[in-house]
Amino acid sequence: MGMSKFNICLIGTSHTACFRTGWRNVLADYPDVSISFYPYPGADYFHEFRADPEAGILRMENENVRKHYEKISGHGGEIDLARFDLCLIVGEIIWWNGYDRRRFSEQVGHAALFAFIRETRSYKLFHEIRKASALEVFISHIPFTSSRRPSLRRNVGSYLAEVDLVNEGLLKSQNARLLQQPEPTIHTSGLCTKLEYAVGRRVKNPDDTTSGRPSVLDDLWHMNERFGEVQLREILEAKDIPPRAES
Amino acid sequence: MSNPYSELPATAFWKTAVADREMLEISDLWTPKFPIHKNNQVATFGSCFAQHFGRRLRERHFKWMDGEPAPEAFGDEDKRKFGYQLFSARTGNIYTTSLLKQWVSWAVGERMPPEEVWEKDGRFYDPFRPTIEPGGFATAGEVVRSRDVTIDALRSLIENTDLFVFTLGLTESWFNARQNYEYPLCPGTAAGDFDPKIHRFEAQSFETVNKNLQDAMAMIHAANDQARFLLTVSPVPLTATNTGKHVLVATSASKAILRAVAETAATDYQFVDYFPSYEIINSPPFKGAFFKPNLRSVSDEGVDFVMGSFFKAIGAEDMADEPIKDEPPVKLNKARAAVLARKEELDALICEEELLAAFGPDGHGDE
Repeated sequence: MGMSKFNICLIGTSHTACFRTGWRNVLADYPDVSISFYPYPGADYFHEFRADPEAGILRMENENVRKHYEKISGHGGEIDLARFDLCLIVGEIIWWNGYDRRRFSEQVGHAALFAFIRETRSYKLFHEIRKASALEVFISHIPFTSSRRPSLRRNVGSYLAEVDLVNEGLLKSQNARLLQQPEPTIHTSGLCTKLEYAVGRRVKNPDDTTSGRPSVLDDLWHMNERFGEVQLREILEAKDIPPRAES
Repeated sequence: MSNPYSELPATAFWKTAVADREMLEISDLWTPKFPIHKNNQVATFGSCFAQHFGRRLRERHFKWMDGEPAPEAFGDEDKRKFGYQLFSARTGNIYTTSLLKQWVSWAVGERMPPEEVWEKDGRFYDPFRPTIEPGGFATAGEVVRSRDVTIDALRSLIENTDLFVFTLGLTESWFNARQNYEYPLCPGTAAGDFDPKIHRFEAQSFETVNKNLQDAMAMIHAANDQARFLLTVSPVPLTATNTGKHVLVATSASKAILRAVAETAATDYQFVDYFPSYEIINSPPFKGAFFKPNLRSVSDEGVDFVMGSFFKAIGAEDMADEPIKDEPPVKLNKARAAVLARKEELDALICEEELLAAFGPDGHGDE
């Protein structure tokens, strides 16, 4: 007898793209998992979701976004949260810069981190979801910009500690989790994404107005399908869902 | 026949200035000695009541000096919790003129701050700001570092302020008898342990309060000879007295000393003025109407009236009536009412003195 499907609802910004492309690469390994995508460029629309607590539904009130959903994925503007086992919110939080330890105490720094998270649109969307459903929610922040030369200003250890802190102090008790960027994708010597997780994605160079022809750059901001693949595998591993080869 | 009183304005006579007027029509209580403009850099310190001054100046977009800004992400609740924007630096309440002198002496380098740090259950507390970090600091070093940040901020504020507003609050104080420095709260109340061999009580006399204020102002003036001072006396009665007198009598004595000291400074120095917030709240014509039911805390209406009088006197009355930008005068729906109720809760000022009440006979401090 086959397992019942594990259904994921993914609401996200343009950073959803690498999850979509990455998912194509791995979905054959996870036949019992499905993902419904609700992507839209930009996170400004996050606040336009309204919970319907009676119906357990999250409703998109912006007509343009709703039409976009229909066009891109066939979904309308209503998300029936009861259909899902997990909700994944992707791509709005640009990770914070930490706090000045010369000026602020550790306790104030931690409170500032919580305040930062609470003010994000992702967290507010999570709270809107919570009005309608107890569904588990994962929140993924925007990956660190990719670079050949990593910033040494902050280290990976302090970043991972911050993610743990948010989960322990803010989200765990609410059946939610902030996802850390997969460790293999981060430079060991600084908070940057390794180039190999960005190359291959191209973006039009907005500054090139001289040649008359569009030129392209590597998109060091949105990451490529390999990145999406790694993060999706980590998410499924966290949910104890092994790939088919191991099951 | 003419006499010195015949040419005096109506405000000089009780009948015309007070008795013949409705309570809220009593006006012209204060004529500023020097102009106060919206572009003056104003620093505010003192006892609980000084927090109102800073907040109202901020709301009306005066150049209130924030010498120690909170982390950017902080909202009002976090700022209040961690003692940001209560005063121009994170000093906590400076109740006495001797405490003001102590902070200023650290800021201008006349004295070094003591090394004393209190520890309880693995957390560390600043004896000079015992409630500034709820739950304590992580390490003793962090206490000292954080205090140094505040002292640096105070120095910068002193050097750059146009107007230093100080609210005189108390005359009763606790000292370290061995090293002769002062605590804002009796050790053992908010934090620390009380030791009668070390901790000494003093009900300060007029002469002591006066000298400490003059010394503090002199140090500030030495660092910034353009600084002017606006003194107020907190109308808030004592929570508790250690003098052995009835708290009402002790309050009266304390406020009389503070009021006399403020009057002396304002009379003696051109660069010092006194604003009568104490009289506005406490005088008989106002019948105690501006106190909350505990007859101690000042109501929002009282603060409005005090600050309205202040803004009117400095010619900023219109600004005082401006609604705050994020509060359009709209009909309240339920959600809006909830937000405003929350704001009202936040507006409750932090007053460490309340801790004394918590440790008094009815406070059940140990449960």
